[in-house]
Amino acid sequence: MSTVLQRFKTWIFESRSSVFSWYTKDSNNLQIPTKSLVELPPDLRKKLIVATNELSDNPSDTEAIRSCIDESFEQWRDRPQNAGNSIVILTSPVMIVSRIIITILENWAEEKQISVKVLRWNERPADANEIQSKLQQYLEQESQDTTSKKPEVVVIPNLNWCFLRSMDGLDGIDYLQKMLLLDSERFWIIASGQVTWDYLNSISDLEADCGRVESLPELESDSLQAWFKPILTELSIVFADPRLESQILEGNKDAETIYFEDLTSISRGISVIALRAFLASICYEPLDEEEDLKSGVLKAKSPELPNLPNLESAHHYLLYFILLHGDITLPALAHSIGDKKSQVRKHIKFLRGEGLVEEVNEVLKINPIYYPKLKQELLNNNFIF
Amino acid sequence: MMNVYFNFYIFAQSAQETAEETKELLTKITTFKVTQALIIILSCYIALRIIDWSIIWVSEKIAREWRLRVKQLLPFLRTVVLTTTIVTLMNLFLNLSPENILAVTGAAAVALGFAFKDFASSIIAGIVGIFEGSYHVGDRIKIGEDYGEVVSYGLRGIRLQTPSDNIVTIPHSKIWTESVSNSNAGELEAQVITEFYFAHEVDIELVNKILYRAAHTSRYTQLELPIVVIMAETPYGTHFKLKSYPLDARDEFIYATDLTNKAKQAFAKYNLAYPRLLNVEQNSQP
Repeated sequence: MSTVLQRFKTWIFESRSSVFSWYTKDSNNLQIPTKSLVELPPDLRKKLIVATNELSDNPSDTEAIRSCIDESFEQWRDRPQNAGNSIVILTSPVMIVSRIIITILENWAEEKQISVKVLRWNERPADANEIQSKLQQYLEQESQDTTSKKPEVVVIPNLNWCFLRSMDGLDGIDYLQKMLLLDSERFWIIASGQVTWDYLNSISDLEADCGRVESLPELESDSLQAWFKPILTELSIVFADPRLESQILEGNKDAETIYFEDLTSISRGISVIALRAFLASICYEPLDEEEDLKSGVLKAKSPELPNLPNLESAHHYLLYFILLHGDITLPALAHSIGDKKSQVRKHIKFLRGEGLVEEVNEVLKINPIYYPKLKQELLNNNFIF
Repeated sequence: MMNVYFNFYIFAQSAQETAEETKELLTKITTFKVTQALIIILSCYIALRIIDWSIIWVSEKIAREWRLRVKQLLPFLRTVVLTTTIVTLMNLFLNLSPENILAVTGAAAVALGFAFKDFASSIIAGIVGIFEGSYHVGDRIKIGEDYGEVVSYGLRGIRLQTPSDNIVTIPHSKIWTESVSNSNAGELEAQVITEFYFAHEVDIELVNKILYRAAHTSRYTQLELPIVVIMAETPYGTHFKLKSYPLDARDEFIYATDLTNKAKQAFAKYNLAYPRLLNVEQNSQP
């Protein structure tokens, strides 16, 4: 019953936003993700950005990953021949958990008395032909270092970097698949985006060679509320009156509780989307219109997701490929999709302008706040998720 | 002489009866009724135009998975509008008692049978086609020599948009005599077969791997549907067929090109041997 209510609530929020935008669409207006931050007074904006950057990873995500790793590792250690020798942690394609996994494993190796080898890549090898050789070099080099055949844990914090959807970019996955089966003395911890996993599974039945596969659970509103508490306290953020539909559906709850329930609902319980939606919902409200800007407060309005711009078929393919790879450089994207770089650059320019795609250090990513609607758009257009 | 008079009398009697029957069948034709009829015909034409335009517009704007379903409403809605118009016009000018309906139907059937045989056949085939579902708007079909996407479903026939962007009009009556090959039958995907030929000594395992990989990596491939490579030995070489589905049947040619392009690049990398037409080579030698 609660799931049905939740779905109904989400539908109401999304329909409202779509219908509203139908009448108020103005291409000159800034999109929601950037609009409110730009409108904040500079000092408050700076403080808010610093506070969100300092925010640690969501403790619920960390705890869920830790317990998955612990449980499957203990099972494997107790029964190495029978239990699966790997745990695969699946996340949303806009969320990268490599940092969380590396943090968890910092003291874990000592605690479990086992050697841990982490594939310390920060990006996908530039040449897709080299993925397999680099993986091979790393894994076989590591195994030569061990003089005796001791059990060890191999960590692949981001499987997305081990392949490229191209003729020459899947050999690394073939190699990993072979290695997973080969050595029962090794326990593998692999993190991957859901879209990547579904793709690799559909082309090579990767799941059949892996032990346990766990998806990161959706966050609860309490967890999100506790996570954002330091920012709320530091910047004295107050909550605006909830929307009418939220008030009707949520009953007599206070504005803050309703806000976080709405935030959880629209973000599908994914911390990175919730963070972006939270930032987008913050606005500045002067206490007195005539006084200067310093006398105002930051107010969190009802959170909502921005609408997608009108997308063409070529955009769908590009966006799907970016989601599939998690993050990707423009040359790699052009190689993977099989178009000229100039063509891809043209479309990416449009998508960046609309805020759907972000570029950091020449690496393209999907703006997390668009992910829920983008996923639905791609599903409607026959893409698999 | 008496016989002639008698026959003349019978003929006159029968003509009088026919005239009376016709008079009984037709209502009084007035200027107002003619004006009404013209307005009805004009409204029908406008309604058909609006339906055609709006269904096509909506189907191209909404999510791809709903495109064909929306387009398939087109023939049904057109039939409803045309039937309503014909019934309204008949009601306006004819006294539609059960006897008169029988008379009109019989007379119309005879007239149509002789004068518009092919036209009537196409209309009936079109109505049968709606229920039989041999093709719908949006399907990719082959009738006779013509292949393409059904872009409209009219009273008399369908219009096909061919791969070379020509519009071919085919009467519905073709379904009585010709086989109709439908690639997607209301689905968004249609199987694409990409063919490759190699010398007999080619590394089959490698070719298979390359073909599967080409399908797995092409952006157009619908990975939820089966991808199969089949092969056959021929006198001149080994024939491979890669059978797979694009996400959208409209992309079939660009998809086949993409697969061929990817596969050929890999074949060149591994220097795979293509079949050699020995007879041609021998004959061409001086």
